[in-house]
Amino acid sequence: MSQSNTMGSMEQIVDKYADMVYRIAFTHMKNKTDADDIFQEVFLKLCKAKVDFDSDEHIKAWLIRVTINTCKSTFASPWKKKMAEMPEEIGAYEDKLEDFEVSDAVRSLPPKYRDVIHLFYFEDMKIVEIAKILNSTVSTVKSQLSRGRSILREKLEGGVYNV
Amino acid sequence: MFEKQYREEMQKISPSKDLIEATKMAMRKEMEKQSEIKTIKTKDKPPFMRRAITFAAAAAVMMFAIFVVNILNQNGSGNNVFSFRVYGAEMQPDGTLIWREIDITQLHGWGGYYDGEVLYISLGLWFEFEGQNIDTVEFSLEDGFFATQYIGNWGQTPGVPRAHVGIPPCFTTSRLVQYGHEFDKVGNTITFGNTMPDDILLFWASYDIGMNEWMFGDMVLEIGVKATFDNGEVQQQQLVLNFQDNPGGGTMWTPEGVLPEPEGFLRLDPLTAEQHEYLMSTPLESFMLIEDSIQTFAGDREVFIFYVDEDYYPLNIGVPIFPEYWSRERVLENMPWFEDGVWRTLLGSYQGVVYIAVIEMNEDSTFTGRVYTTQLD
Repeated sequence: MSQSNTMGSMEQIVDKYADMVYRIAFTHMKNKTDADDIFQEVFLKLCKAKVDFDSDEHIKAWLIRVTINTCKSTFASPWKKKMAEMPEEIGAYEDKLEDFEVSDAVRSLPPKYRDVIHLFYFEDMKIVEIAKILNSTVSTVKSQLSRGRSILREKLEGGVYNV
Repeated sequence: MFEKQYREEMQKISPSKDLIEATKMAMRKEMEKQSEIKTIKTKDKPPFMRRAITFAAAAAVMMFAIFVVNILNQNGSGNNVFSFRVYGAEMQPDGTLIWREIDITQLHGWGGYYDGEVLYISLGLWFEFEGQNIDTVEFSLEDGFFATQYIGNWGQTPGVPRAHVGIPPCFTTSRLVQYGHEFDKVGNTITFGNTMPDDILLFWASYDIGMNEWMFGDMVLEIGVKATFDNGEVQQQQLVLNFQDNPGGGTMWTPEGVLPEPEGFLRLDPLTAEQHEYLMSTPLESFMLIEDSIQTFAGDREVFIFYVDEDYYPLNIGVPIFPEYWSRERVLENMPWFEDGVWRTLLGSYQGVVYIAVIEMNEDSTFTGRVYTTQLD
């Protein structure tokens, strides 16, 4: 599937992957304002990149990788390092704090476990696919998944979640 | 249950319609901008300009082809062949150091220092460059910068703390990764002659990441290596150091008062060689078994978690810290170090209380992990 860079095809990609990109961004940035910024930046990168995608999977993998890298770059900037000390906010999703108990626990994981857990449990990706996207090895992803589960188990102790 | 709940919560998080529309608008503008640039380039030029551009483009392609052929010649022919051997400084039982050649894919651990502002990760390696007519060898980094430590008379200055990494039983000959706490910041390139000085330790350093970001990141360093020969020819290689996929642990020091988050780290106070020997050779029955720590793993589980209450492990000056888990794969890689199917390592120590992790291979090829503790005199 060769995607010509027409606005129509770009809008289709935005419509199809908006939720996915936004959720990964939110999982990393932990607040709506930063997630919004990452969301826009990722799709603008898509416009500028002129990648000749050959399948939906290719688009999806590209977007996941670019979203994660954009989040990491944002955290790496000196400005963001200072801002990272600020309290987290759920922003527009403040239904009830307990409504986000499990996803909060995932967001509090160190980044390398967070990505693997999110892609495995929410995006239904296989370990081999995750390893490819994260430029890692299958054994490393397996270890990170297992370690992430273990930390979650401790964090959610007392709840009824079978991690 | 976890998966279902996580899905339900994440479904509630989505971009607003306004954000999506604003993004599409921004994309439209970006594409229009690109389209305008394209139009100027291809349509608004008068015919003679287009011919001039075509000619220039053809010339550029030819020049590029010549350049590529030249590069290929530089790398693939002639007497100028460049390679390097890698050595680690090993401490001998008598306290002296020797450089021993090592396999760069089996680094057996890493070491570092975090002063609260700069993270220094030790390469702990000495490079011997091989090839005739080498003029200079330049190491370069895209991220971070190089720093060095002067080890002077082979690390024999009294009173200077030093850190080694390695895996049992090679503790007494493990690799020197840090010597004191003084660093010279060099920059994002460092240039050597046809050999690297053997009285320095080389570090990768960064202002941008802290201990946790390093520990929970990729732990991979990529270094560009460019050899320039006497006749001006250049050869380039990429050196990749992957600390995560290596079987050894990490040793990280911090000055007093710098307290990174303890998650993922356990403390190991410095021990004397005699204490280490005692802890590694004394029958396990002499130590106290922590019942909660016993875990059995079959092939479907990947990670051993050694449970020790982390509250007892504040970080302090001169404290090596170790990741607290070993993957099954990592254990298997270390099978040569198992004695009678039992492997042990020091997990942590604080104020004389030592924790010893033990992994035992069972008859059915499953593993049992457990932790012992004892008080040192």
